[in-house]
Parts: sequence; C-alpha cells; structure tokens
Amino acid sequence: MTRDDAASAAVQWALIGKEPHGWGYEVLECSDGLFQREDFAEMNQRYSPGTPEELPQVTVARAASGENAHLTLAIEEESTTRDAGGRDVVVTRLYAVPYARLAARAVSYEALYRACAPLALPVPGRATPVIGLPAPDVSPFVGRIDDTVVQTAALLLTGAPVQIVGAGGLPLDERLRFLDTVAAMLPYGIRTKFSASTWTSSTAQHQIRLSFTRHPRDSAHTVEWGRPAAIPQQAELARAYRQLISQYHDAELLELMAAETAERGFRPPDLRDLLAVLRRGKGQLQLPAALPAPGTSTAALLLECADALDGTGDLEDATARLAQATSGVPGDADPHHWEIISGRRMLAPRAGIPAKRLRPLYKLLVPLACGRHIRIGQVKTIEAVAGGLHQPLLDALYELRAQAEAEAQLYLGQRIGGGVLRNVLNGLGDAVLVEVALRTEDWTTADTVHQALVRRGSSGQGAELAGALRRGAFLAPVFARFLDTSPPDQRSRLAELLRAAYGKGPLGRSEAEEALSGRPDLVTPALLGAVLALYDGPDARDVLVDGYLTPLLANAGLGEDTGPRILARIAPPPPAPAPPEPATMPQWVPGTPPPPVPQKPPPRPRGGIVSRARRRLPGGGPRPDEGGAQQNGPPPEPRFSDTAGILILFGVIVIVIVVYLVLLVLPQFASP
Amino acid sequence: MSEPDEVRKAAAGAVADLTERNALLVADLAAEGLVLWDLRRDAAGTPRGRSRPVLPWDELLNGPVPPARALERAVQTDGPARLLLVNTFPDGPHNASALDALRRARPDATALTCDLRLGDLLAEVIADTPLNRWYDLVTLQRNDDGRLELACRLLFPTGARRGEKAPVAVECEAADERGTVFAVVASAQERRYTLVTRRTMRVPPGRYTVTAELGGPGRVRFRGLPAEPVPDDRTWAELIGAIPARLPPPVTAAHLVCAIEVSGPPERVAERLARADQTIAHAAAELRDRLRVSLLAYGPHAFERRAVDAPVEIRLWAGTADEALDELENLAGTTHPGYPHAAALECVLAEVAARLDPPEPGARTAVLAVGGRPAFPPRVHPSEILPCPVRHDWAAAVDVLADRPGTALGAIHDRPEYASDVWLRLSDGAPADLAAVDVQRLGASLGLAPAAAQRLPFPLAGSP
Amino acid sequence: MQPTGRVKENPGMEPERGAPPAEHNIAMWGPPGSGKTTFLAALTIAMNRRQDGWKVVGANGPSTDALIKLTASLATQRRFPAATRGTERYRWYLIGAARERRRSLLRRRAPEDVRIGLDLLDPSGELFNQEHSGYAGAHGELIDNLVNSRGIVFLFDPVREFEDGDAFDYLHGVLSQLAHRMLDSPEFAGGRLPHYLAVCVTKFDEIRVLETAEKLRLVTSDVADPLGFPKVEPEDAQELFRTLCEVSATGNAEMVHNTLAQYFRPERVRYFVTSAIGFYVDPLIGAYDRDDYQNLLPEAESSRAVRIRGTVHPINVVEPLLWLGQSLAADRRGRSAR
Repeated sequence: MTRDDAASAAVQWALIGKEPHGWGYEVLECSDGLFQREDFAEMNQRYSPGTPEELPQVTVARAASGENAHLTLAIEEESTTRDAGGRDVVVTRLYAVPYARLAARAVSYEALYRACAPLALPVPGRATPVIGLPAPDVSPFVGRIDDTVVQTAALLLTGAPVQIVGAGGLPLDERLRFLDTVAAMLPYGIRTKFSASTWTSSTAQHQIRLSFTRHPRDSAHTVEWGRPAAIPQQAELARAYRQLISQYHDAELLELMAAETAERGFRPPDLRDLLAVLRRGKGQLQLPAALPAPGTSTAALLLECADALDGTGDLEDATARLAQATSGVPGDADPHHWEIISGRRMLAPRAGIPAKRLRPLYKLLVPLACGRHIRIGQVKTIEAVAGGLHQPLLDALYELRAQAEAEAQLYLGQRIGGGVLRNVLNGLGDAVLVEVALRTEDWTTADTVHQALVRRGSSGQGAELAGALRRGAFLAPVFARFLDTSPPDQRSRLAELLRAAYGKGPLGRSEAEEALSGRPDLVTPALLGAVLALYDGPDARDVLVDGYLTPLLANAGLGEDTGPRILARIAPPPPAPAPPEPATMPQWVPGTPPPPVPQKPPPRPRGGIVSRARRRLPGGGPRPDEGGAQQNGPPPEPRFSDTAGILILFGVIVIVIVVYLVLLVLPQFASP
Repeated sequence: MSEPDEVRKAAAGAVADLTERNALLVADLAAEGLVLWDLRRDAAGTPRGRSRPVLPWDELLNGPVPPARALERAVQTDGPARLLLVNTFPDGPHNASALDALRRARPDATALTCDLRLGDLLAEVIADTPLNRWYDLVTLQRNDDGRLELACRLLFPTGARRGEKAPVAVECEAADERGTVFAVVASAQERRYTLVTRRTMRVPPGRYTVTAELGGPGRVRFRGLPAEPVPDDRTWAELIGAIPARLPPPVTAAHLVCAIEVSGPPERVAERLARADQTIAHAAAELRDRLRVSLLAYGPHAFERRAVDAPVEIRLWAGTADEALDELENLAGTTHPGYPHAAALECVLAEVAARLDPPEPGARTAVLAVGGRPAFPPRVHPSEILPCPVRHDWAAAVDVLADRPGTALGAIHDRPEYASDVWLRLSDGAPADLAAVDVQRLGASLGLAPAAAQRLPFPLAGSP
Repeated sequence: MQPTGRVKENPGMEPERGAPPAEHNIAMWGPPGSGKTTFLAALTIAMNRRQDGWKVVGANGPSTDALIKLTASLATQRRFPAATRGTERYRWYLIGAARERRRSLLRRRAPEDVRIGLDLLDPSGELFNQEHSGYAGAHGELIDNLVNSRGIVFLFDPVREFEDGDAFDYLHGVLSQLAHRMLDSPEFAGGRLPHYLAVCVTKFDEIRVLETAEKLRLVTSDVADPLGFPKVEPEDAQELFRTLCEVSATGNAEMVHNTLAQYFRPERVRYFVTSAIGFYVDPLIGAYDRDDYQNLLPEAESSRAVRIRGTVHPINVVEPLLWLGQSLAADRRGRSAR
C-alpha cells in the first residue's frame, strides 16, 4: 500500500430526500458499490435523530462490521423543494467511509466532516469519489478536554445513552467538536459501535448514544452543558475509568486511545478491557472484580487468589468471591488452606499490588489460616511465612484483633506501636496482662506488660492489680527468665511492681505475705529480696515463714502426715499482741490443716469494656471469678458476658414489640 | 425637302387617323439605316409607338436579298397600315435611292424628306393628339345600405388636349399599406372601360380636392395629394377583388378599455404593458381624436388577514391616448402580490360593465384584457381556486358586456394553450398570444380600426 | 338530594384510586402526508374549541414542548408541522373536568379530575411501506410498538387516494406482520387483533371529499353547531369510507376496507370523518359559507407550499382519541377485575 493510498479513502454516498412533489422520504440517488439502496435506507433510518428543529445537523454513526466496517456521516440540510403536501423537504447527505482507512490515521469526526461536506451529491455516474485523509494529530484536542468532556466520556461507559442539554445556542461546529473530543477520549475502536448527533429530538425514539437535545430523557444520562454531572454510584466502571485517566496527561491519553483501533463495543467485557488498557499504560495489573461463581470450593478460590497475587487473574474478583464463599465467618482452620497460603506465599508482600487490595485478602486469609481464634504462635508463624509483618498484613491483623488472643494483640500492638498499643493495652485487663507476661516468650512483650502494669499502679488503677500480680508472683519468673544474668534488675523491676500494687510506702505484713503467698512456687530469690527490702517490719523472718515457706511447703504436696509435721516444726512462737493489720488470708491456726487455697473456677480472662466497667463499679474488688491463668493452658475462648447479652436481647425485644404495636395502630390513625 | 412643320402635319394627320386596327408605320431613313416606328392605338385609345430595330444600310443593300426586295420586306406590316416615309438624312448615299425604292414599292405611302429628329417629333405629335375617349377616375360609391360599387368620375372628355386640368373631390378612407389607387379609365361610346393609367398613393384618410392634369393621351397626373406615387404591382383583378362588399358606417367615437394584469414575474408584466402600448398606439393612429382610452391595472385578491383587498385599480377612465400611454409608463414596475394562482379579472369585468355609459349610435366600445391567470370563481370551484370575496361572477359580467350593442371583447393571453375559460370567452376561443400579437388584426377585431376587408383601394367619390 | 355525579355514558372516566393513571399506548397509522402529526397538532385546539373542560397536558418535558410547538405551528404560524422523521413518541394526558362525587357521610373527598393517559406513537409514514422502508430494524421497532399498543388511529387520505392510490401498500405489509407477531398471544382471539381501531377519513375540508359526501347525501348540518359546519353522522362515516375506497386511482383501496374488516373486531372499530384544520370561517360572517370554505391558501406561484387560510376548527379530532382512551381504560379495568 503506497502512502497515497493510505492518505485517501473512497466514499460511498447516498442522497435522501423526496421526489419533487412526492410524498415520502426515500433514497433518491446512491453510489454504486458495496452498499445498495436498501442499505443506505437502513443506515438513514436506524440512526435517524428524529424530526429536526434547526438545520443543518450532523450525525455520525457506523455501518456493517468486521472487514466491511464503515463509519458514516449524515448531514441534514434544508432544501428549497417542497413535497406534495407543501411541506419543506429536509435533504440528508449520507457518506460512508471504510473504517480501516480511518483507523489507520485516527481520523477525527471533524476531519471527516470537513472532507465530506464539500462533496456535492449526487455524483454523476454513481461514482465513489475519493477524499483525502489528514495525518494523525491529537493536538487540537488537548486544549478541549474539560470536566464536561471527561464526565460525558465516563458516562458513556455505562452503556446507556448520554444527552447534553442546555447547549441550544452552540453553533454546529462547536457541537461537533465536542462530540469529537468525547470520542477521542475513548478507544478509537468504539467508533465501530458508536453513534452521535449534534441534535436529536427529545420525543423521538432514537438509538444514538451521544447527542445534544433539549430535554433529558429518563432512560439516558443527562449532562448539563457547562455543569458536569456526577457519575452515579453504581457506575463502577465509569468511576474507575475516571480515576484511571486522571493519572494521564491529556496528550498521552489521546495517543493511547487513538492507537486502540480494534473493534470494541460498550458491553462490560469491552469496558473492563478498556480499563485494563489504561492500567497497563501505567503499569498496573489488576482488573475489576466480577461476580463470584457459586459453588466453588474455598481451596479453589484460594488458589485463584494465589494466582491473582501472582499476576494472573483478577484479584479483586477473586477476593470478592472468596469473601462470598467464606461469608466472612471464620470457621475452623483447615490445614489444607494453610498449605496453600503458606505454599503460595500469599501473605508475602507484593510490590505491584496496592495495600488496599491486599488488606481485604489478608483479612480473609488469616482466619482461614488461623481459624476462629488467632494465637500468638500463629501470628509468629504468619510473620515468619510472610517474611515480616508488612503494613497491609498488620492492618489486616489489627482489624481482626477481635479474634486474636491477648498476646497476639499485644504483639501486634507493639508492632504497630503508638496509640494502637495503648488501645490494645487498655483493652486488656491486669490478669490477662499478667498471664500474657507469664506465658510470653518475647521479652518485649513482657517488658511492655511490666511497663503497663507499673503505669496502672501509678495512675491509680491498680486496685485489682495486686491480686492479679499476686497470682502471677509479680512476674518474678518472667524476669528470672529473661533477666537471669542480672538479678538486680529483676529485683528492681519487682520492686516497681510491688510499689505499683501496694503503693509507695513500705509493705505491710499482710501485703508482704500476700505477695509471696500468691504463688509460692513461682517466687524467686529476686522477689524475696524485693519484698524483704520493702518490708521494714521487725518480723521479716515471720513474714518469710508465714508468707512464703509455709504456703510453699503446704502446696508442695509432701504427704499427708509429713506436711503438717513440717509445718508444725516451723510454727511461729506464741503470738504477740495481734498486729493491727487486717489479714486478708484466714489466720492459720497451728494444728489445723491449712485452709486450702481456694480453688479457682476456670478463669475467664477479661478483655474489653465490660471488665473495665466492672472494675470501676463500686465494690469492685477481687472477684472470685477473676483469677490468674491456669498453668499454660490453652488460651480461653472469648465470650460475651451473659448478663450483658441478656440485657441487650431484652432491650431489642422490647423495641420490636413497641414498633410492632406502633405500626399496628398507626394505619387506623392515618386513614381519613 | 420638306419643312418640319409639314412633317409634323403629316404625322399628326396620320396619327389622328390611327385606329385600333389601322397602324401607322413611320420609316425613318436615317444615317445609320432604316428605323421603323410602329404606331398603334391601344385598347384605351392611347397611341403608342414601338420602334423596330435599326436595319443598317449594308444589310439592306448589300445583303443576299436584292435591295428592293429587302426594303419592301422591311416595311411590311401584319395588318393594314399607312406608311410614312421620312428621309432624315438626305445627304446619305443610300437614303434617296432607298426612298425612291420604297415609294415605288408602296405608292400610297407619304414620303417626305427633312432633316430632323423624327423620334422627338413623333412623341410630340402623339402627346398633342387629342383624346378620342372619355377619361374617368375610378371611385367607389356607397349605396344607402352600405354596399360599395365602382363608379366613375369624369376627368377629361373626348378631344381634350394636353394641359387641361380637371379638379375632382375625393374622400379617401383607410387603405392598406400600399395606398389608394387613383386609376384613370377610358370609356368610349360603348361604355367599355379600359384602364389608361393608374397611380397608387398612400394617402391618409380624409377629403381632398385633387387636380387631374392631362399630359397627353394616357398620361394623367394628380396634384393636391400629400403623397407621392409608389409602385404597385397588383393586378386589376386583385384591386377589384380587394373592394369590400360593404363599408361600415364610420366610427364617430371609440372607447378602448384596457385591463392589464400586473401580477406575476416582472418581465411578464412589462411585456403586457408593451402590448397594451402597441394596441393603444395603433388604435390612436387609426382613429385619432375619436379615440378614448381607459386603463385598469388588476392583480389577485389578498386573502391574508388584515391585508387590504383592492385588486383593481382604475388608472385612467376615458382619457386620451397620450394620457393612456403616459399612464402605461407609470405602471412599469408595479406588481400586486397576493394569491398566486388567479387574478381578479372578474372584478375588472364587473367594474367595467358597471361604469360604461349606455351605448351611443356610431360609438364603439372595445374591452381588452391582457393577462395570464384565470379569474376567481364566484364560489367554491373544482379548480380549488378560492372564490372572489365579493362573489363577482365573471360569466355574468361577460354576458352583460357582450350583449351591449357596439361592444367588442378581446384578450391577449400569456400562453393561449393554457388559457382558462374566461379568456376563451373573452376572445371567442382564440386569445391573442402575448409573444406575437397581430396588432392590426386585434384592433380590427375590436372594431377600432378597419380590417383588411374594410380597406378601400380606390377613393370614394366625394361630394362635389 | 342531588343527582349522582356518576356519568354512566362514559364508563372509562373514573380514575383508579390510588394508582397513577396508566397510559394507553395509541399509535398513529397512515402513509406519509396523510396528516398524522397534524392530527395530533390539532388536538389542543380541538379541545379548546369544545369548551367542555377537557384539556390536553404533557406528561414530561419533551412531550409538553412538542405539544406547544405543534399547536403553535397550526394556530400561530398557520403552517402544517414539518414532516416527521424517525418515530416520535409523545406522552400526553387528556384531563377532563372534575365530576361531582356522591357525598357520603363517611368520607368526603374533593372532586377528582378524570385523566386518560396517552402514550402516542407518531411514526414517519415511510415506515409503513415495507418496500421502501428498507431497514428491517426500524420496521421491526414499529411492529414492536404496534404490538405494545392497543389503540390505533388509522388515517385514510382520500385526496392522496385519488391521486396515488397507494393506501393499501401502506397497510397490508405492516398489518400482516403485526398479525404474525400476535399470533400466539391469547388476545388474538377469533383470528383478529385485539386493538381498538379508529378509522379516520381525513381532509374533510377538501372540495373533492365534501362534494363526494354531498353527492352521496351523507352530509347533514348540526343545528347545535354555531358555526354550521357540515358533518357526517357517525353511522354514515363508514359508508363514506367505503365509497371513497371505491374511487381510488389504482382500485386497491377497496382492499383497504376489506382488510380492516378482516383483521379487527367489528365492535372495536369505529369510523370518523375528520379534518384537522376544518373549514374556513370568514371572521365577518362567523359561520360556514358553502360558497367559500377552503381553508388552505397557496403561498407562491411555483411551489406547492400552502398555509392555513383562516382559523383552525378541527373536526372529529378529539372524538377518536377520547373513544380510544375510554375504551382502553374500560378494557384494562375489565381485565384487572378478572
């Protein structure tokens, strides 16, 4: 194909009007070529813009498809003839140009108009004249892209027709230019399915996608000239388009669109393809979500998500379907799922995917991996598998903290830091913290707990702190474990905790005893030292014996007869006048078996508002149900308080009854 | 040798004796040869001479035929004829001998010798010959019932000689383009007329006193007419045939009412005005002061609301032809817009019928319409032309006008093949074509100018 | 006690309580130039002249605009509306005067106005001729619209029939397709279409039509009419239609009458003799003048452009639409009651 061929195209044409003193519109003359008379009649009627008000008007449309695809230009003009009824005749000149030629040079509608308009019809001999095509050039459009154009182009992507109102005074050229600019914002290939007109009749049933008109129609989007409308919420594709093109420079976008000459339409797959094109232009990979297919197994969906993460497939789509499949309610962990997740490294960070897409996925993956309850071990595992807790994963985990155990929460809190940590801490009760500290294997966690407990004590929140700490031996083993090389540190920390629990002053006898007798088996030399250091009473030896040794030996389980004998051996001398301090523990009377340490019922760890509220309630002291953790048992299940639940339920029922009654009564008052 | 007077007297005597049967042969023995004149009287009694070709002496004397025989043969005539021999070249070598030979051959011939110009002499002699017939002027006489007859008015009696004059009063009516023929006929006792001479002159109509002057037998000149003779090649039979049977009574007064349609394309209107101009001018030329002209311009009715509906404009009523022609110039360029398919001819006819005075005897009225569009019907009509708002009926108006005595109707139509009823009615089925109007015929059909059938080739005998 | 306000002779006029008046789809049917758009344009003027409280109102912006424009072209500019291109759709309401309701003790309601909603389809005439329409899609759309409609205003133009004689061409093709489409519908009972058909013989103001009617002695004059217009009684309208069919140029118009009788139920067909512009009334006389009643005025010598000469007095323009609207409303209520 020579250059000259490319720069020109043969025009098929038809002249539609009325025979002199005829009655109906018909094709008067047409060219002799691919299209016959009936074809031209069809083109004219299919894209008829209705009864015109003012003339001339221009309508651009298309004809045929595939290899024979053509773009058509129809110019409606006045004529001086009149029909048999004496009415003015409107003459239409219809030109059809092969699409391939136009696409090769990305010829604009305005250029097509300028080339075709001077061709007078009919052409003698029914010949097909040749018009010259200008070189591709997007620069004229650059300055014309404004909000109205962008909105219009976006609205067209919803597939519904768009009408521009309020532009009645605009001359024909400007209207045509506007249509042209809007079309330039869309891939050139949609012109094979696109139709636009500089004017359509508001009352006509027409099929033109974009036109100027006087009144808006219900079935079309309306754009007011000069006041771009908002894109409706449900027009997701349109919104997506809008956002995507904002990343482009005008000229860049126009070039990109002009290069897309493959035939495409306005159906959703075509439009998603368009969005992909736009994303590809900026190096992004994702595609918008599709509806999930029902009945797919979670594993399969996981695999799909994994694929999507790897770059093949639609992540949003897959995420949505996974969400649907799992319905958001975490079930028990399926090791198979975990296999997939870990095997495909689904939690690992992905560079090309924005956090906002990863997060929802992670929120789905984590419960799948961890089950209903997220434990610290799992978090650590996840951390290991993901190669670190990157931000989206952290965010996802944080959002899932309701399902996480305390230590995991603390862990996350520490990772996230700042206010989040405070929030987390505030949400955890003393006993829980103590328990966490006792169990944790991270020094930072223990330290954090220590700090928190100290803060609580100093800020006056330490009412129950003592009890909690008692049961945890004031974290002595924790410190012993982590600070084993530095007993003085242990002692100092323990002292802090003791002070936090019992106040600034020196310890009283009962306090000292209490401190030691909570968990005598956990008492460490550091704790002994700290207690004794803080105890300034004369009978430190007695404290030791009573507070520490005796419970220790008593709980050691040394035998039924051995025990009491040993205890009797170290019984204190006859008591001096009773110390004024009230004893919280029942006095041990020699000879009698020591009161058993009251068995704790299975502890329910606190977390959250309810326990804090309860702590604040008057008369809140150590409650029997509040206790330390059992020996490294499985983390307790989080449960709502029964009472609260019942209250809420009751309230709801009342409201429902009231509403029901109101609705029942209301009609009787409403009717006149 | 004779004197010229002798010759003259002999010739005069010989000429006087000329009859239709008897010829006179004058042989002139001239220098170059023998010249012969053959004199006869024609049917009208006018002596006429005809010369034969010269016979040179050589041929006569030296030819194959013996001279005497040749000479004798030369002077032979078909019928009886006198012979007059004149030797006009006495000194010639052959003349005397030829003269003798001829005298011997024809002893009854008169022989003279004189040196003169014989031709001139003969002409004079002939011219001086008195008339042997009565010379009359051919005129036309109108009987009481209007029929025309040929009549004669005496000009010169028998024996009149050259130079006599006779006055005669004639009245000339309109003649055709060749003019009026003043014919002189000779009549003998038997009252048989023979044309002597005739002159055709384009004489405007009117009364004249003409003086006929006799210039010799067969020569009469008319003086006192404001025209010169023109050649006329019509035969007598044609002239007689051109005499109409009847002469209508003279037009004492004529009224031409001209209605011109001023709607449609301006060029069309201009052409109509031009035709009207021609018609009026022609009529004025024929009738002069007796003509009165009325001019109406008409257009279509206006059916728009609040539009003034005055389709007929009377520009001139019973004015002079000059005023009418001026008014026609004023009309140039005017046009009446309105209903595009008809013009208010019915209102014109109604108006004219109403305005015309009762007819006078001898006065002629002509109504001429110049236009193209049909008239508005008086009521709803299948042609879908809207009816006249005043409900004028053109058919009734035409009837009124046609029944009026002395009234003629005529029409000039843009395209006669598309002429509608009213035009056909006005023009008896054949309206004149705007592009090619025969103005004279039109004028005649309107009664404004005599038709060709009413042109008189001869003058009327005026009252003496 | 006052007589009840229930007007029994107009059964379709009661509105459905509570629900908005549903719109009845009515399609105009006729060859190009037969006067479909002019008929609609004359509606407002016709209602105005009746002075019985009926008026026509647009249901949405474009329809109101169209109503104004069409009425103005006839009444103010005195011209026929421009030839329709494509298919126009107008949604109008015919609103009647409020009727007095029977007052009951229990409830007292303000008199409600009667509304008949019309969803009018005005296609360009060329679409009705299968040969020339060319585009199966536009044709198919037309058939779809006709299938959805239940009322048809069929315009028969006698003048055009005199000259061209092609009324049948613009009828049988579309009608056959319509019947084919509705074949399986339960409403296609007895082999006939369920539509209500108002056959309107148009251009009664033309000389040839009136004279034909007069020759047939079908013309009477209504003494109650202040204008004294000639009219053809409804019973005679069918007779006039039949006779006009017989004088067509090609002779095919007879088939028009027979075709209509074949495809539509006789009780659902009514004949009207209409004229969108009516007869000319001289303002000075103020009544019909049988010597001069043409209401069209040619504009220029060479072209066939015409203007309307005087004021517009439509004849039988409201009656077909009102009859269709009421019949359709009654039909719908009957169906919903079942």
